[in-house]
Amino acid sequence: MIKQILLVEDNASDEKLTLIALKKCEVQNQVIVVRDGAEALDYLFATGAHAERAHLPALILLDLKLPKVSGIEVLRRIRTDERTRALPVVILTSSKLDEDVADGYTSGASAYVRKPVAYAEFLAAAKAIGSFWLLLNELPAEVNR
Amino acid sequence: MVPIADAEARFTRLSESGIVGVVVGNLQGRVVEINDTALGLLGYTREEVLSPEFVWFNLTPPEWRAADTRAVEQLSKSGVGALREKEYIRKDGSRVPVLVGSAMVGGEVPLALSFVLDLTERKQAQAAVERLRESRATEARFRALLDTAPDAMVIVDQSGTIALVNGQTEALFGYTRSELVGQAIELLIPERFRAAHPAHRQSYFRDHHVRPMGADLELHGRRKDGSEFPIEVSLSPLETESGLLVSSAIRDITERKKAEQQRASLASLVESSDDAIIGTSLEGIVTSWNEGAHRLFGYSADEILGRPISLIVPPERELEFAATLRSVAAGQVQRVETVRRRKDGSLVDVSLTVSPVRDTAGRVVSIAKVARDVTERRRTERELARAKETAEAASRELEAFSYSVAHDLRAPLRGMNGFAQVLLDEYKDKFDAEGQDWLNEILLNANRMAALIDALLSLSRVTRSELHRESVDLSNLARLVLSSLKAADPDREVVVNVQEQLTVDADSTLARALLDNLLGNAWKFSGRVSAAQISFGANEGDGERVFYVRDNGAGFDMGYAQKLFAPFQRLHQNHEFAGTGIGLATVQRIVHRHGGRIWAEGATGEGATFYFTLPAERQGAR
Repeated sequence: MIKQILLVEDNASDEKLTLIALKKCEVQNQVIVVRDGAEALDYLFATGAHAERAHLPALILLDLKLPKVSGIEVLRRIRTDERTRALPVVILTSSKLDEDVADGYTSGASAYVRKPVAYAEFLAAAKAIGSFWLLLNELPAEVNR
Repeated sequence: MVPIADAEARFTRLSESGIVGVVVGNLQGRVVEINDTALGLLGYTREEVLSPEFVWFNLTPPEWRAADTRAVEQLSKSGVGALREKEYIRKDGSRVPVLVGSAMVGGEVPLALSFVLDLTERKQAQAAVERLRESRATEARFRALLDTAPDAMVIVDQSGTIALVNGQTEALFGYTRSELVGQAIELLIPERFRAAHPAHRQSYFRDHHVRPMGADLELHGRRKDGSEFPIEVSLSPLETESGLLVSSAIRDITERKKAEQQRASLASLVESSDDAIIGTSLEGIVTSWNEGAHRLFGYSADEILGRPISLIVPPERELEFAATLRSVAAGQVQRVETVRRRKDGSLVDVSLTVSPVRDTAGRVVSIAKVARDVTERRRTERELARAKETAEAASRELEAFSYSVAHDLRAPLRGMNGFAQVLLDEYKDKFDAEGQDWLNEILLNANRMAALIDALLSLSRVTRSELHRESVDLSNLARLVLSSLKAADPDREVVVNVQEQLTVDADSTLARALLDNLLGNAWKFSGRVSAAQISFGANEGDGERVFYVRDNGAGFDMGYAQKLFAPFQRLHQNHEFAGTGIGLATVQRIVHRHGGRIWAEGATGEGATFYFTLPAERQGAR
């Protein structure tokens, strides 16, 4: 079983740190990185540059503030499409504004995690996310087919 | 029997005494003898009377002739004529009243002897008595007439003496009639005017006609008790037998003066008002128009009085205007914001109060309008709306800024911190101790900046978030905060004292942030004393409750007390007590948002006390 992670992140530093953290936490899953909302949608719905992609990811790590299409909009599209509505989506962002948290959950986020500045905490967060959503949590059958 | 000679002598004496007229004549009217008294009475000479042409009966006026004829018949039959009153015509044509008695005297030719008594004086006396009787009746009638007059009537003779007063005079001046009659009229005048009065009085007697007294002057009456009152006096001359009198009608005008003053002060109020105050008839004809109306609408009073008020109603408001008039005529007060037209045709926004004016019976008889120019207010309202919009735009910008701070500023920090940490973790052996220390410095500074950003965000949240007041138990909240401080720092020994049941009407989230900061500070700054004490409580005084948070820690210099609450102001160096410099600024904003006050007392090394109030009313909330 190939459980892929889709990381939607426009900040190159954050991307690198996330990848280092996931690796450090011994999350072995393949991580696919897309760098804006539009690309994320292409990947998920196998359109445009990603028309050839084989699988839907098992977990989406979604930043909110993204170029082209916002994280919230991406989330809404995921939740309104038959193919993707059951996917676990963890919002991973810098903001902890009450409005953003509320928006995230009403748009169908599975979880909302604020990226900690302190790297040690960041590591702990990455580890917790990986172990919960990829190991502990049971996914619906259609994912990863 | 009396001898003839004696009798004749006595008759002659009587006849010559001048007491009574004596006439002797025949029954045909021929006089044969007459005395001087009778001649004096009739105005004829003896020759005239005794001449054969003289007919005695012609002296009798026609209306007495019949009675005369009967008396002569009686005389010739019985020899005696009864005493009777009659008149004779004198030679000069005038009449003289007389009493006549006759008797026949003997002889071959029968003669009649008549005594004639002049009654002129008696008649005059009788007439005088009659006149007196009549004049008494007139006076009584006159007095009764005076008493029916509404005014005090005082009748004065030429010497200024009161001759007659009516009942109203007694009531008005407090004197009885008898105290007034015979006194000088000056009794009823205030002392300071008395000296000059007789001259006025005399000049009136010289040139008398009906007129008001002292026109244009303030006249005053003086009561028996010395009190004065304003009067109006009207004079009229009264010609009488006993000479010229002057009748004065005196009216107490106290009430009228009062009413006049009231009217005058009301009128000046109306005139000086900035508002337009307008009176109209029920049909809308302008009956009064003040200066405010002139200023507001451009028409002067002269231009618009008597004309329809609809002159200032724009055509598109005529229906509304008619409806307003109808409901006011029905007795309702109407308040409307509307538009009126000035004389120059320009329109003006007015707030209008239209009220019915009622007569004493409660009937609506006219309409009063008060109009105020609200152009200025409308402008202010528009400006206010614009300002509000600007403020809201600014607030939206602030929100965007906050978002940007939250998101964008933290990301680079995370990069700095993260990669420094990766270096320390993965490449530790490539750095010596100094290099590792410097990497740690990068970590420390990045963390500190992240804390500053978070504090700034929470400060802006305090300012922006809506205030939800509810009952908050501050005592409970304080214990909660202190126990979490204790849990994070279990090695500290702190004596904690929290007053019970301090409940307040406040926003619970903000109240929590308030105590987090104040108790957190107390905890932090008492960290270096051996027997740390923290207390939370309240004092009542001057009708308000003052809360306090007190510690016996590092304290502060009172010289800097004002700087405590400014953002990023710190009174301690970071290596002594870590902090962002935002906490007390946040606390102050929370207190201000609740309409309260905050201040601090302390001394370096002797602890600090922070006082604050949280008024229950919403008046301070924004």
